[in-house]
Amino acid sequence: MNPLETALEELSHDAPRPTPHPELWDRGRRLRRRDRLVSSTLVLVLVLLAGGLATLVTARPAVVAPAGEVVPDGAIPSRIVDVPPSVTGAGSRDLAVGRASVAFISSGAHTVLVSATDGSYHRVELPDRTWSRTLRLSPDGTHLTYVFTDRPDGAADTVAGVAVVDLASGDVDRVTAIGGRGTSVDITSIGWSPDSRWLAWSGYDVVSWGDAGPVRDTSGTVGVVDTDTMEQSTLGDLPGAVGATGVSDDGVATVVSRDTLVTFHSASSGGKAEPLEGDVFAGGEVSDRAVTSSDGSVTAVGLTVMADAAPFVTEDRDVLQRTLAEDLYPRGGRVTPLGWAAPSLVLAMVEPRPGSGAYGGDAASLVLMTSPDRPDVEWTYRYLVRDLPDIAEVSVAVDLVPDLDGTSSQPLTHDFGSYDVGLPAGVRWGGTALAALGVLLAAYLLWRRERRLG
Amino acid sequence: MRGSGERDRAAFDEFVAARSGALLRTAWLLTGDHHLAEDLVQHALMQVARHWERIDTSPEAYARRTMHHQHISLWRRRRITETTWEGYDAAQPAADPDLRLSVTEALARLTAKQRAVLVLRFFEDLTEAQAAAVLGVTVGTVKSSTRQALGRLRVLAPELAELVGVES
Repeated sequence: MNPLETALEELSHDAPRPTPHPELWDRGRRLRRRDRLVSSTLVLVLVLLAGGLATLVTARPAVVAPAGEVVPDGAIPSRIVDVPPSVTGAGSRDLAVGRASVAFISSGAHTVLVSATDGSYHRVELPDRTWSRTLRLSPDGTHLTYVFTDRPDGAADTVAGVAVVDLASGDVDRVTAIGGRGTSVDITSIGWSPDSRWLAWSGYDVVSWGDAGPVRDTSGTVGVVDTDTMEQSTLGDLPGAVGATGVSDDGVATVVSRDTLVTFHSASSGGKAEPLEGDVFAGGEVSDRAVTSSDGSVTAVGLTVMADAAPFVTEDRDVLQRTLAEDLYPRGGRVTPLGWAAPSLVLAMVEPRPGSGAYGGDAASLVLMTSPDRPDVEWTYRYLVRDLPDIAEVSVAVDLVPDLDGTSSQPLTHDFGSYDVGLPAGVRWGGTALAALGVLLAAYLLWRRERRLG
Repeated sequence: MRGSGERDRAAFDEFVAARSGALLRTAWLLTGDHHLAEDLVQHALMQVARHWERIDTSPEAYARRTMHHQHISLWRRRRITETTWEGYDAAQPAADPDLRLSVTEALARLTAKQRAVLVLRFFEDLTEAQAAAVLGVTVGTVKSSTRQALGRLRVLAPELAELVGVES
């Protein structure tokens, strides 16, 4: 044995006699139980952390309304965004998204609903085939209607009609449109009454349905649907050209074509066609959009062309022009009326002529404008949402526009903070990778802890 | 029939009765202090009880490793609180070259790491690699610490020169 080993061996005999504590085992086991509890808690916390992180990155952030702003039943978002091109695939088939503020078809042909209460975006998949992709949100934002086409099993021909979606339940009711000669109808225009009860439609009678779509007759048909009961009334044939269709709170439908105003009071009375005087629409064609006021006295009409003014047609066939402000639209613009926010206030989408928009911007805006049947001194023009993206079939729940008389404390629009239309795949994968890293880190920390203890 | 808990406890008690003396001798060599040695052993035994079913080596090896870690950890803490002005781990110059010290006193003048290396190498008969594994340092550190410890013993206790003539 090495001398040092011997010396240490001898020295070790000076060690005291061992007196192990009698509770060593119990104390050790208590510590063990505490270790297990701490480990479990650590795992739970880290998993929740990783999950929370993933949710934070991949899910829609919680919406926090700025203090002082009131959004009890919803609001129109202060910004509307398109669905990013990277978002692909079918949308949700669940149409029960709750009250919506805006509906549109994105540049990528996604049907999008924006929640009125939290500003969230919902890409939805409509359950029917449709030719026209016509989409209208009711003024109160609780229902969505669209034109559908269907060819039931065993049927000889395709039928078309309007479908009404209850956004609270997701239920879909369908009403088939029957033309004046018993044919189906190629519906080209639909419109809600300001009270969200009546739905009016108009379209061309269909001679036959081909692979490329319907073969239209020259005549048309108009109908209204009471959405409370889903009972439809075919009001009658259109004596003139098919045009933009609106309906009042009394269920009186109005169809405005290039030179004619047709008013349908009931199915029994038929349509009352009256010519509009002169080339009232500046040589342009009316679009498929018209919104009739609650009492049916005025109908705001959309045009397919750029013009210096927005036409409003009264029940007396007068065409009133709401001139666009020259400083804002020096070369005019295209006005598409979306609804009546108040008895004399129309919410419209205005697109400036390309290259001539105010502040150099060509993007469309949502604006409020006073109906020209009111005296000039009462006219107002207010921007709601600027810089609209390149989206189609925009419709807005106009009832969400607060009163402009100062009685509402709610701003015209609400900044919901974030707009998750569907994150690009890269971001989603980034979030997933981040969450995976979190889990790996948790596992590593646990492994280190176990190694240190063990 | 006894449950696994009771069996574990009985095995632990048996281990403590059989090996606590040997552990205490090592602890005594490491610390040079009766109370510290007992504390070291009690702590190591409690850790053995804490991880009893997870110890895949022998309980004694686990206890010895725990003791060495705990001892160095305690020494580091004490060094921070008590001797913050000088490097305790550096070789301390002998106050008096003619001073004759016993083995006990000479060991007490070594650093904790140096003492641990000597105990592991010359009392527990571990190889350099085994000692390095127990202390969680490299083999090179074990070699240098051993060399420094033996050199220091030669200075502190010349009468032990013959004992420490070995270079590990």
